[in-house]
Amino acid sequence: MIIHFLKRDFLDFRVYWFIVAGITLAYGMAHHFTKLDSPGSPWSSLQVLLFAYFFLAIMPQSYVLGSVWRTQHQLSRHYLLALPISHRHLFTIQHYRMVVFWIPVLGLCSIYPFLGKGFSSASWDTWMVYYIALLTTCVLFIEYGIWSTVQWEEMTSYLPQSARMRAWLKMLVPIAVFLLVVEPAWMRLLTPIWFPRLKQMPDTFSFFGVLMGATGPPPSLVFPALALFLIVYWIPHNARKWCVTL
Amino acid sequence: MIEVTDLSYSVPNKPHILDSITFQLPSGSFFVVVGENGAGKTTLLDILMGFRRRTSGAVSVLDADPQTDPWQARARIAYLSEKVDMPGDWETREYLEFHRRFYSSYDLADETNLLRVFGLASTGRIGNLSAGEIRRVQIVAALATQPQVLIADEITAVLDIQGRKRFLDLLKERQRMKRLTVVLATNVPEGLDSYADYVLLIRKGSQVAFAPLGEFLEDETELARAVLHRLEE
Repeated sequence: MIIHFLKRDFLDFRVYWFIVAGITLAYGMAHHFTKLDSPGSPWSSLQVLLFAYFFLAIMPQSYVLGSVWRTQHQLSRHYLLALPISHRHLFTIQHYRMVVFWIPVLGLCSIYPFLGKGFSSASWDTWMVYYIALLTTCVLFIEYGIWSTVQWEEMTSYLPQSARMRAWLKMLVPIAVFLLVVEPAWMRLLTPIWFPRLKQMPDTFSFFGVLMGATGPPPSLVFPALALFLIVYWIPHNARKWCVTL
Repeated sequence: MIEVTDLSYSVPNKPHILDSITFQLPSGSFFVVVGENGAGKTTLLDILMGFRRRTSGAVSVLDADPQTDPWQARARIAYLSEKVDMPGDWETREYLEFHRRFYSSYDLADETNLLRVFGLASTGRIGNLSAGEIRRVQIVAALATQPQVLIADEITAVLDIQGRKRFLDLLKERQRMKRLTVVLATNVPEGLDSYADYVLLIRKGSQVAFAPLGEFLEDETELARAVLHRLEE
């Protein structure tokens, strides 16, 4: 059954995959002919490609989830729920369908440490931080996609105007909390690349100082692991929210 | 076949979306749910399909509680709703091909026959069809699964007079020949007299009446007039 959905998705998102391939090709050509990465800079142009993949990964989620209110979708959530497939299985299928769009991000991120300006010689804890933060962030965005889609549906169908502000906050708070939790890991990984001089700044009480203080090995490793743990509890909640019967 | 006992449904800001709804339907009956806009018809059908978790009461469809995810039973239930959209860039043929894969009882010959009855071509993009034609495609897909129960929510509202009559005639025929149970929610009861066996009237979430058609009509001659009369009481 998963194959049946994935085959259909592939047909429906032909243009999408064509764009992904086009961006990759354009990047490859630009890199080859214009030497995007200057040898002395720690910045890697692959990060631009990564952001492009990231935005492309989150775009199709609402199409796949089939919210019936004010979103474009392939097949409505009610159509999917009425099919003779167990809802547990259907919810798993939905995850597979969404994960497919994360393949470019996950693929590039997985090999990134081994590429030119990666960190293949880094210590073991950097590796741990990197892969845990990567996994956490991807799962976080997928689960948030499910949560916000159904939340949006509820907001537009049941709630009186007076209750909408609270509903908006309820929709935004989880992503804010989770981003704060994975932030130390990404700050630790990205700060030396984006702000190489920040490490030497003496004022540890400045905004960046506080951020930097949270990027040491314990928080940068523990927080994303904690987030992953919380997400595991969030998945059954989302399943019940999307499927009702679970 | 379908049993609903003391069913209530509420959400935090709306305490009585449905309040103490009770009815029993035998197999092979044609059941019409009528009521004003916002009376709770769609919510009732959503609960019958397991799309919403009831607040209290008991519901059984094909001897299964929809809330417990009876997915095998759903193979025998067809669902039609205005809320179900279809991908505009698919062809009718593609939609039917996608849909039939889920149902072992799907009858391809019946699909061809239904396409002919509803005057539909299997080619052509769904996005180019009118709202009524899109509903017809959904009807074809639903009936070709050979369901035992058909749950239809406001589906007739967008059909033209001929399409509506053709649809209702087809349901009646299948009810007689295949013991199909039909649950049809509508706020347009006109012309349903010759089809309905049972009628449920809801007003603001409360059950005004549930009765066999003859009993529901009382002294009135038409269903629409009987509904109006009861709503004005």
